[in-house]
Amino acid sequence: MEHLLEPCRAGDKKAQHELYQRMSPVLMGICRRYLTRIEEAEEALSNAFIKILTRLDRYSEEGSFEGWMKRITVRECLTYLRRGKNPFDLDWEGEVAAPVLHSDGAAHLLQLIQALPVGYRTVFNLYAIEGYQHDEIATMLEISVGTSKSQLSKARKMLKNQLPEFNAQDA
Amino acid sequence: MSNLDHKFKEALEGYTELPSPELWDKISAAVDEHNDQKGSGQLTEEPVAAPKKKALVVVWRKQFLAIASAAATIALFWTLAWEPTPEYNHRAPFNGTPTETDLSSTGTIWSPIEEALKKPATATKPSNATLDVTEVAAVTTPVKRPLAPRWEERLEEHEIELALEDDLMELEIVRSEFIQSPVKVIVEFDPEEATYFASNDEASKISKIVGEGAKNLGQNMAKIIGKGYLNWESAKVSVNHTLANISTRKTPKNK
Repeated sequence: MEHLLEPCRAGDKKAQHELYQRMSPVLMGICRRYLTRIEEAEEALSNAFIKILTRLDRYSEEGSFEGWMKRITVRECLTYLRRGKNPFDLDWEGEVAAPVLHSDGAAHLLQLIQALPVGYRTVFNLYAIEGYQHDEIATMLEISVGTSKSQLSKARKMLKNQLPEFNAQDA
Repeated sequence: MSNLDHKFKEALEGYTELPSPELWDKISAAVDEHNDQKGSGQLTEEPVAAPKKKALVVVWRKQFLAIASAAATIALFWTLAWEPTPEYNHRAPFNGTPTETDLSSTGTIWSPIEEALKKPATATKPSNATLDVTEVAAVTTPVKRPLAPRWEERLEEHEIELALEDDLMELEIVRSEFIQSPVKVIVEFDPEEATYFASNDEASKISKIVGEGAKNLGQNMAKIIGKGYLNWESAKVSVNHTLANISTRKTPKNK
């Protein structure tokens, strides 16, 4: 992947397209975890990739190139959510409609995440999958650490209810 | 990390999905447009290191240069216009009244806060009864400027980078107090507007400026009342300007 960096920085269209072909499915996967509608996910992906390609000279090569692109994509998803009418919807306490489940494992779990209220989903994604700590999440979402923890707890509870093996553990 | 978290992380960390085929054309066109705007078709900005702190240092250096040059210009005008405020003895007992710095009344120097305060559609009401505009109302004639767009759109390139690094944050607390002996600075924002983006650090810096100004005026309390988007550079200039105007009126010339 790193070998595409220099030609992409130099504006080589072919290299940029190759980078897109390699990374867009991965980054789209991230966007789909945060944004449930495909159009929203594609818009976030598009904005993220434009930033990636126009800010390549800010990548210092100290960390992984892929990690840098993923971080930009996550932040672009958060920016997209922040623009919404009720960003992160933290007060949401209602019931969730049961998702139509795929038999495939990853798609099944993705649907469970997508069925979560946006606040639960965002915190769960950032904590459990991206690996951020609560203080980092609190800063990113402009919420308190306590709120971040409670959102995570509620998200886990809701997910457990959808997964028989975890229900059995709790029983 | 719980077993549940682990299950999801394992399954979804590498989850991939193909975007629609036409998306690349849109991205490519936007990148071309960006490069055209840059002129040479190739970005020429200085590279910024990946770790947060280093990136911010580079950005702040650039901003600092801009602030420093603006401050030097303002200082030159001030020097020509009026004599400095007499030195404040902070040991002396306080007999004055709190200084209120209404950022909407800074007139000729534009800031997002004053813009938002002037905006009739969102001017539901001042956040409280302490909004005292009488002191600074006569200073200047308001300048007509377009209404503020979304906060991201009004940021400069470097500021976008800051936002990307989470340096710009929403003020969670509507009212915060910064006590800097012997001056207490209160920062207030209208709770009815949902988006006030400023870092706590920015608020702290602004409070220092206001606090210093209030101290020089012999006050032991200052207050910033704002509504809208708080941008450190413009707010700092506005606050300085307002304080300068207050100082000018309170400082006897040709003493």
